Amino acid sequence: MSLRQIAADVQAGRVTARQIVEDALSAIDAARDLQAATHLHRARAVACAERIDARIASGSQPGPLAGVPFAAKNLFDVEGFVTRAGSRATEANAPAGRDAFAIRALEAAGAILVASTNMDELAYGFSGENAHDGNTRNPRDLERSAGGSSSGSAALVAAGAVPLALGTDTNGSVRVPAALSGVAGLKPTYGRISRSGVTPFVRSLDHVGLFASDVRGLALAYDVLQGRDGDDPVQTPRAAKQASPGLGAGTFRAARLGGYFDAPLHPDVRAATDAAAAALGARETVLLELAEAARAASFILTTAEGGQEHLPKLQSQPERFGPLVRNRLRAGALVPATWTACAQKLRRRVTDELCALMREADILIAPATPCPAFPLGTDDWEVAETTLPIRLGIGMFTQALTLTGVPVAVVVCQGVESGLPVGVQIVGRPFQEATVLGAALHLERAGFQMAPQMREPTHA
Amino acid sequence: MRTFLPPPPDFDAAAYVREAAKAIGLTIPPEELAEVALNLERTSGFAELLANVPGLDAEEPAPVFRPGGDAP
Repeated sequence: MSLRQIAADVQAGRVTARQIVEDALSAIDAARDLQAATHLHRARAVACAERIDARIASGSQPGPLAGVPFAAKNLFDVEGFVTRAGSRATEANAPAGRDAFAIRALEAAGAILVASTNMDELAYGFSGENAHDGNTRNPRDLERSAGGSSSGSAALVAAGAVPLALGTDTNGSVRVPAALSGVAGLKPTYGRISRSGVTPFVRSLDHVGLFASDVRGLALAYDVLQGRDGDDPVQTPRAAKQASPGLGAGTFRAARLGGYFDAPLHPDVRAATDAAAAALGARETVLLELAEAARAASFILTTAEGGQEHLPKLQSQPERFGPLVRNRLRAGALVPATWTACAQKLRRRVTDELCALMREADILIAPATPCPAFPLGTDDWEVAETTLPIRLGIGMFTQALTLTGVPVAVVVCQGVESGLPVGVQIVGRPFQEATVLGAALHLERAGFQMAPQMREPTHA
Repeated sequence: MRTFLPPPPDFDAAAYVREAAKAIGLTIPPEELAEVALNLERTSGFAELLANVPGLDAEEPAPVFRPGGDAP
């Protein structure tokens, strides 16, 4: 069931929130071979559902997301639990004193947290491989990556276990797993959604983002996540701007990003990008000349800030970091200031360049990843006769855009050749999420949506 | 297409890592030094690409500190 169907049924009393929560917990249990959930919040979810059912029985409405079960990447604080962020380096931290702002916002609208989800350790990766919690498996093909770093959140939505999940996106950590797992995803504008209660990775690039079973569900959840939070100094002071009312009613001019974004592309990705461009009437191809440099700058800021973020524990407890992150973070902690200074200057210039392109186009279209999901454990992967170090290369198109902070949605379709999901990025102007989601809805209606891949319950 | 970008000429990443780690109190076991150096060398390739963007020196960096926040 879609997010909106669940909310409508719960609001109308056709089903109880308690039943919805039980179904979601059973579905997550049936999907445990995905290694997507790291913790089930069963008691809390049931208590929350009973409160919602009591409110409905007494004639009041709990909100637009009434009874909608959701999951959150395990770097979102959940009251009473240690926020592990997929690492052992965090295990000795104190339990969270309250829920992250994003969880509070969703629950204030009637949604119910049911699970925390697996991720790349400390959000540093695109593959969903985790040395401590196991590798997240893609529901479309269990041997393949679900994409990361918000891997478990995307996988649970793709498996139909929950219709909504929270993730974070620093270089593509919502957009890559949305594309590889085959669900709709949104990285809103930098600073739009409060990050308080979210374990930081790269403070100048971290965004809260989300996955949903459909675009209208994304918009509904995005609307309640925009609340002002005095605890986040990075959050924009701009007033909330609702995306759901009139979603998809406006018109927009779309263009396609070429050049850097045109290679290497798996045939399925090229076909999807062509189809999206045609569906949105994007006849013109434009060039972001600084795209490759922007990707380089994002890489430098990420490794440098990530290294600084974790330096105290790299000094005192290095053995607690897994092998995929430990020496990358150490190298990051040693990055010369000259390199990060250049990256910040490049950030200004590429943001100006992108904004200039967007004077002529409301929406830009680009592939989300060079290829569909790759096998777990892969170092190098060939895409269109180019060998990519795939744990890094899978994010080459998302990482090039992240520096500008603009809102980007991802919608997906099934590749003809691979049979796997492929994703397209829909890029908008800063704080124009409604336009981005409107274009996403247009594409969804044109076939850019994949049905969930339900997991069959297993009986011991 | 190149898989990784070339580092700056004459950059000895292992020697740099060995010395700079001391400056920030970071102990790197000898058996892991080569991997740290490889990662830094990879980053240096990206830095070299930025170093060759024309006119970047004169650019205003992106982050702007606003005393008192963004309130009107």
